[in-house]
Amino acid sequence: MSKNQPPKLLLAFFRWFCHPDFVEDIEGDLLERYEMNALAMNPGKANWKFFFEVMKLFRFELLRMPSLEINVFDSFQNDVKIAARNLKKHKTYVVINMMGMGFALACCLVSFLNLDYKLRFDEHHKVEAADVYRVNTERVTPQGRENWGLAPEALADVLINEVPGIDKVARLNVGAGIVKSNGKSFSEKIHFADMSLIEMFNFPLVFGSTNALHDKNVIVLSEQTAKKYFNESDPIGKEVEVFLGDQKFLFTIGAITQKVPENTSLLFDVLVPFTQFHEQFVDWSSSNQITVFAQLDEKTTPAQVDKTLTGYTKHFNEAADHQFEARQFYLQPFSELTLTSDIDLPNWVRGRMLNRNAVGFLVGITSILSLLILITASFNFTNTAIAFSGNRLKEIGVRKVIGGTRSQLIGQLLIENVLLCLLSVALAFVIAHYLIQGYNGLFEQSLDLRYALKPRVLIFIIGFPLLMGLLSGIYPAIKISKYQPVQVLKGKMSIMKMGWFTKSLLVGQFIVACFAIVGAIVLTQNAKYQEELDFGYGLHEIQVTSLNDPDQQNELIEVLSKVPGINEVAGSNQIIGQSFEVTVKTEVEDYGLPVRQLGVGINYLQTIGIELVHGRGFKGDSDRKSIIINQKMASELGHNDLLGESLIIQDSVYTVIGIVKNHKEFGLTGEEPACIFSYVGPEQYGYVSVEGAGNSSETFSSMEQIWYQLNPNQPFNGFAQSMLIYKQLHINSIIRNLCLFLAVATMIMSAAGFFSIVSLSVQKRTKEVGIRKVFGATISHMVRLILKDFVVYIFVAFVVGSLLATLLIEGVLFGQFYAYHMQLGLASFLMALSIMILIPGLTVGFKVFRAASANPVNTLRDE
Amino acid sequence: MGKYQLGEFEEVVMLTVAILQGDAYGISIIEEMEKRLDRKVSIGSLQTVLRRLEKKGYLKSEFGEATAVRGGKRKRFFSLTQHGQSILRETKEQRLGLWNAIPDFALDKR
Repeated sequence: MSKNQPPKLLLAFFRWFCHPDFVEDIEGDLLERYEMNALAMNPGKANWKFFFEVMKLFRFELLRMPSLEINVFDSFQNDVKIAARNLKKHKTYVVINMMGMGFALACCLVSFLNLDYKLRFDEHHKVEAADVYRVNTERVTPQGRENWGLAPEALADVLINEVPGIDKVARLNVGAGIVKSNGKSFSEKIHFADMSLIEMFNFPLVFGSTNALHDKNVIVLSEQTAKKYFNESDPIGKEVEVFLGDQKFLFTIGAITQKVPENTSLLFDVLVPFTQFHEQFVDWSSSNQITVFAQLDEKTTPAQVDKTLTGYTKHFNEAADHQFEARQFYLQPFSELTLTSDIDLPNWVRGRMLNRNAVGFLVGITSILSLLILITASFNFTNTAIAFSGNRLKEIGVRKVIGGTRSQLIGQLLIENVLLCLLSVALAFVIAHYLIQGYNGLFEQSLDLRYALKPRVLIFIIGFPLLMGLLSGIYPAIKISKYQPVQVLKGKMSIMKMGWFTKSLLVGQFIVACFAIVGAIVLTQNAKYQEELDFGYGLHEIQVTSLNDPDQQNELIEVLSKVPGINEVAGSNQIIGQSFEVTVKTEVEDYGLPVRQLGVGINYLQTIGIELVHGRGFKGDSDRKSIIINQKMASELGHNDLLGESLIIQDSVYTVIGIVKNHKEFGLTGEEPACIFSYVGPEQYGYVSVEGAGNSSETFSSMEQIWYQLNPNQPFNGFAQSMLIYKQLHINSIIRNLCLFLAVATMIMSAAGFFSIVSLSVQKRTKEVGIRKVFGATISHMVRLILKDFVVYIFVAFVVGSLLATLLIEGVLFGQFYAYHMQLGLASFLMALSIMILIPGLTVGFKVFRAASANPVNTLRDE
Repeated sequence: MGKYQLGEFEEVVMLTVAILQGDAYGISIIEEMEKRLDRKVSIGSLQTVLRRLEKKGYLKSEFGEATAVRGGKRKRFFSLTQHGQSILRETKEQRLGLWNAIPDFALDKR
């Protein structure tokens, strides 16, 4: 025999493809050739020659033909039948895996739906609106340069009348108004648009036609809104009244648009002609900013139009005292809008009137979470498959002895896994049904499971589990099929050892569980902390209603203040959380101090609970040139006695009459700012705020009642003051709920996985425990022996998991988002650790104790 | 006869098998051809032709004894069948007939 061996892989490949009748002698020829070559030349070259020889043997005449003697379908059917029987026999195994997989798949299903919904935003407009662009402004403000999704109204006129190559232009503006029909009135968001919008985006019409839309007094309603106003009947030609501010308009219904999917930028209920409310020709001094869509003809490129439009920045910048300078006007393709529409997207374009596509956070967090859960479930799947393989050693031995090849065994085991996965899919749909309800509630989304019946989603739903089944099944299948039948049947080899792979899978899932537990504990504590945090005013006690008209306030305030249970009532121009930035100077030459300003009425500060430290509050119209500042402002100005000082705000001089305590204007996310309160008279009131003694919903409903007594035709727009920072207040509890959910899920799953692994270990060590006990070991000794390794794993997982959780919570949520949050303490980690030990401990405790206390006579007796 | 025309490579292989007289297996055939004809032959192309000729009944084969060399694999020895011999002879006669029919002046005599 030569020392040189030909490459094994090539030889195996040859054996595989060559016709069995020819294999022996041709292989002999190959080897003979190789041996000769190996003597004559260096081994590398001989190997290359060998390679070419093998490749040249790959010819049709020499190929193995698929054997038709074994019916492939029959054997597959047999495999499936046996797999089903096996699963029936091992019910614990099936339940553990199905629960875990089903749950994980349900999570993936929900997050896939969510992802699909977001990524397909605006898709139904894609074809029609391929050549539609929005006109954006690149503008320069004191904060810097930014892209702005609006354009001056005058620019739209330019597009219509002066720019060549434009097919259609549609102007769009949004406002709020009251629509009255059939004697009922509704508060609606109203879109003002050129009716070319309907044609441009090809909105399908249920009733009416686009020809009828050129009249100035025609209104377009969405299908749902039309139903709300008129129920089922065809409403074309009917009349509705629209109130905007103090004006009243009469419209005839011209068309009803079909319901569009909610994942769209252009979502309107009431569409009225733009020209009805806007002057025909506006000049550049107008500060009106609107959305402008332009449809280009085939010969024109957006770059040509950009160039023309940017020439008009001069007109805009020179025309009047605008709040910003326009650097450039440019076209953005409609299809790109959704990719730049939200604050957490790259190239974010601010200032849009369209529906937003909030992608980053929601999609990110749900995808990551569901993947984590899925990974844990797959870990489990693999672990339990290995652990339970001890039960079927005999089966595998017998199969091998009878002549089952290894590939057949692997196929059999994989079919079993895939079958299990398909069962999990069915369960996943049931779980997803409930999960989606929870998800929609949590994030105010509108996902629907029925949406999952679309082909691409179905492909995902069926294909993904199959893939998971194959991936997580392949490792145990290969391992189990490796057993030597002689050893297995003799009983020499009992159960496979727990390899590094299994160990790292176990540690992996404990890490995920620990991460979630620490997150849930810390965020629960943080929620409590933030709930009890002093905002500097009565955030939770204040109810607010906005006014459609300042004239409504007089009566309203008067009546409200007499209601029992309501302590204080006040009007204001803005409410807390809506302050705007102004620059305050102490002298004319001063460079100025940026502060937040709120215009408030008499008694507002007292109503919402901002405490006065020095001086007095506003008394009435005599205070129009008076101002109240807060302590932060006072310390920034650096004087001790500021009462009576003069401050210059936007070229007017005000006198300081009072100093109040600081409040958290930005809620939880920003530090308490320097703040000034200026006086506004009742004619400027936009809101009425109420502070009630009793519970807030009672206060709210009595406010609502009184509103309708006084203004029967006007919709009530009341809300709780805390609604303004709703998102901040709730993002913590959203993440907390997610963590709780993840913690429970992964803990259940990893406890199940832990259970199967410990049972495996216990089975394997039965004899060892017996012998040790004969030699005098105690039960506690034995328990320690069995659990020693696992305790180490749990500790490792705890350390890694807590580190991850700390990094994420401290670094991202606390570091980037909240200015006011709880400090991380040791206690929460200790609590997480005890949960990490307690739950797995309880799961396996009985099993381990039974194994440790077993009578050695029973365990050591052979046969 | 004449229904099946031997290809050039097929003819050479059959002739070599005949030359080797009972010692004709894969590698010996290749070596003989390489020695006499100075051409490279791959195992793949030879084996394909051998199987094809065997299928047609021009060659027959049997396994030899296993030996320690060539990984313990047996050799397959090829020999001509009666049918194969007559085909070969017929081919030769056809060629000779063609040669004889050439007028003397058509080829330069060296």
